[in-house]
Amino acid sequence: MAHIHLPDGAFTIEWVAVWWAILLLVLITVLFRMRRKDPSNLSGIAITAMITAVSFATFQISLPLLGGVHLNLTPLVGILLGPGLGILSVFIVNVFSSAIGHGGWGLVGANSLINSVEVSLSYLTFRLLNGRFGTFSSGVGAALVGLLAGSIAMIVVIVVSGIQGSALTRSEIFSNLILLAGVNLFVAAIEGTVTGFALAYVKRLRPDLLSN
Amino acid sequence: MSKGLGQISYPIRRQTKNLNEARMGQVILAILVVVLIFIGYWALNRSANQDIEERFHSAVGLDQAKEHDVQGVLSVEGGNPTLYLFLFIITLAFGIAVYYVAGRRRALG
Repeated sequence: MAHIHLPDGAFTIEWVAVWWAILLLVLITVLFRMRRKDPSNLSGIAITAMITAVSFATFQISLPLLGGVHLNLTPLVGILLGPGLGILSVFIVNVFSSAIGHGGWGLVGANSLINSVEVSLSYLTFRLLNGRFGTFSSGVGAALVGLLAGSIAMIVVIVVSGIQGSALTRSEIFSNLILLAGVNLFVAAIEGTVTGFALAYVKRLRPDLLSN
Repeated sequence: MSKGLGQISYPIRRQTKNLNEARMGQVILAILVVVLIFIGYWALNRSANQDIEERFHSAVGLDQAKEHDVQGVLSVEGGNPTLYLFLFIITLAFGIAVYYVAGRRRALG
C-alpha cells in the first residue's frame, strides 16, 4: 500500500543510489540465504511467480475510493511466501510497475525497501498471532501492523532523502506526509480485511501454504 | 479422587480459554479497524479532494502536472468520501456476516 508516487528526479541522484545500494545488499543476502537453505525449491518458485502476478495485477487496479487508491497485497505476499521470497516478489512488482509508468525507475530501490518492511513485518506478526487467534484475525492484525510500518518507512525515506525542487521545508513535508499516512490508514483497513478473507480462504483450500 | 459432574476437565477449560482469547482478539481488531477508518476519513477531510498522485505531489511541495492521466488499468473516478465510508462499512459488515454464517454452517455440518 505504501508507495512513493513521485516521478524520477524527485530524489537527488545520491539518494537514489543509496536506496538502490541498500536494496541490492538486501537482495544479495536473501538470495545467498535461500540458496544455502533450499537450492531447488521449485514449488516455492512457482507459488512466488503466481502470487507476484496477482500482486502486480492488483497494484494496477485503481479503486474508486478517496480519489483513487490501490492495494499492493504486500502483507498477503509476506504471509504466504515469507520474507525471503516476499522481498524478491515485491522487487519484481516494483520493476514491472515502473516499466508501465507507475512510479519512477529511480524510486524502485526506495519503494522496494518500503514494501520489504511491509512483507517482513506482516509475516512476523502473523506467525506471532496465528497460534493465539484465528486465521482471519491474525491476517487482519498482521496486515495492519505491516502497512502501518510501511507508511512510517515511507515517511522516513522521503524526509531523509528530501525532495528536489520542493518549496517546502523538511518539517512541512513531514507534517503533510503524516496526513497522507492518515489517509493510507483507511486503505490499510481495506487491505487488512482483504488479507484476512484471502488467508481464511487459503487455509480452507491449501492449509499447507500457511503451515510452512 | 473421582471427578464430580460439576467439574470442568483441563482440556475443556483450555479450549474455552482459547475461544475467549480468539473472540477478544476479533473484538479488538474490529475496534481497531473502525478507529483506522475514522482516522482515515478525518485525514481525508483535512486534505483536498485529490487523487493519490496529486495528493502526493502537494504533500511534498511539487505542484506539477500529473505524471500520466490514466490511474492504473481499470481507472474509475468518483468524489464522495462520505459515500465511500458508508459503502465500505456496509460491504465490510456484509462480508463479515457471510464469513460468520459460512463458518457456523461448516462447524454444524
